[in-house]
Amino acid sequence: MASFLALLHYCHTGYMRSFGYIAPMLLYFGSFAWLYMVAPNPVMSSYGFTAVLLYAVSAWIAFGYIDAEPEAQQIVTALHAQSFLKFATAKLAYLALLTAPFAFVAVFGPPLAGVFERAATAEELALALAGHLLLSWLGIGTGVLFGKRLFPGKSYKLLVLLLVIASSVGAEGIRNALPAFAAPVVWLLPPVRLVMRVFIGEDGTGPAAAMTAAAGYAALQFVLFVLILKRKGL
Amino acid sequence: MLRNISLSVRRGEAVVVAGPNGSGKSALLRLATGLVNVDRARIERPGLPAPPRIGYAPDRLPPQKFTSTEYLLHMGRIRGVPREKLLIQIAELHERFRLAAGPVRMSEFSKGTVQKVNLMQTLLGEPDLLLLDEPLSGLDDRSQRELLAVLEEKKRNGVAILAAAHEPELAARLADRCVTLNHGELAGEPERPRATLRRIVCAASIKVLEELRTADGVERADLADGCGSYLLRAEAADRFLLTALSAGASIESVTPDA
Repeated sequence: MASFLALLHYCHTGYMRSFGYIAPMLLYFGSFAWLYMVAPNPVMSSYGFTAVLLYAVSAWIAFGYIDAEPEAQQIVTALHAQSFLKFATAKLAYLALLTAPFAFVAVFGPPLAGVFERAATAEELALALAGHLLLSWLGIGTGVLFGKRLFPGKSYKLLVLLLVIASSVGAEGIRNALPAFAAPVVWLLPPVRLVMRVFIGEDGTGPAAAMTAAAGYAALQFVLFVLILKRKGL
Repeated sequence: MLRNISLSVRRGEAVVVAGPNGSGKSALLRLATGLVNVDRARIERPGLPAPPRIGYAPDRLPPQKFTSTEYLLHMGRIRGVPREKLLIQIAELHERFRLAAGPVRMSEFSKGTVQKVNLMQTLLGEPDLLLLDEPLSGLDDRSQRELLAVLEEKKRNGVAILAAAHEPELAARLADRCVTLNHGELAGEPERPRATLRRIVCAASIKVLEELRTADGVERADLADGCGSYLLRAEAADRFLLTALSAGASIESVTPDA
């Protein structure tokens, strides 16, 4: 456990000194400020906007972070950790911890600042927090899969990542536009649309099913990332 | 790049992989970490604890935005070394490698200083196996001597060492075995690296030649008609020559030998 915490500390110190977080953080909090500049705002749809924004920002952070440690240093770090699994999971855990404060600020900031049209209920706060955290994990899972292991030296990978992010946000529209036989293809995309439907009050399956689907998909992405890393090596 | 390679390193043994640039030495060492191209190699570590404690020094450690102490603290803590013990070891390593533990970050270090930190991190937490890629590269003479002394000490304590080097210095002074890589293939495993052996031919009485046969460092002696041909370790050559001359022998030739 001490070794895992030391890995997290190392990841954090290195990333903070790289300043790689500044641009995504500026985008996130800039958009956040822009959204709440005019008050009052509706509760759940505002949460829906910041949650989707957090999904995209988390993917950006994860994409920039996952290959930021030089290759030779990754081997050194993993050997000191004495466990490849520990090394890989520490990277994912760090990204989840890094983006968690973004979720907390997005959920508890607006009610504290009094920019909502009414007081958010405890159930809404809990749902909003779960939605923000899950979408940030989905973003992390998406971003890390576009690292150099799956796309070695491919200059177009950023474009593909942007396409995946945009498609998963607009999956509902894509599904409606596709012929019936092709519509199930949207299930391959990160289930951002299911969580969004919870925020805008259109959830047909209920929030629990949407959140479970998002958590399951994020877990699959994390497992896939570890397996790819193990298969391809550092 | 690497083809049909089978290599073993025993506890307390140093194997040096020689070969020209681009021959695959670094790739072989990375492969030995077990973290790269894992599907193309089988690594067995009988006798090593699980998980194995491996110290790896890459050819060039990317300089990071940490001071040497911060970096070594991070690596040591990740290895699970208790903080107090680690601080003592880090101070000792700084002293041994004559590196001041200051506030300057590694990104501001010279190549040689980064290399010292690179080697220092391999020694954290009592490794069982050291994988060193061009360990002498960038070090001044004194640091090279110090490193070789440290590695000799580690060898005596049972640490296995696999090192890649294109210069003969490391092979001559550290290697128990030297293997050569050429275009990704091993070119044989001679018992001794070429540079570690000298053949000295001298003339003397049969009694002196017989006495010289038992001199320190002599691996083989062929005596005939008042002439002796001695194969011995390079580091023992000067002492042998002094002994031979003071015993009245006449030196006819000194040549490197395979």
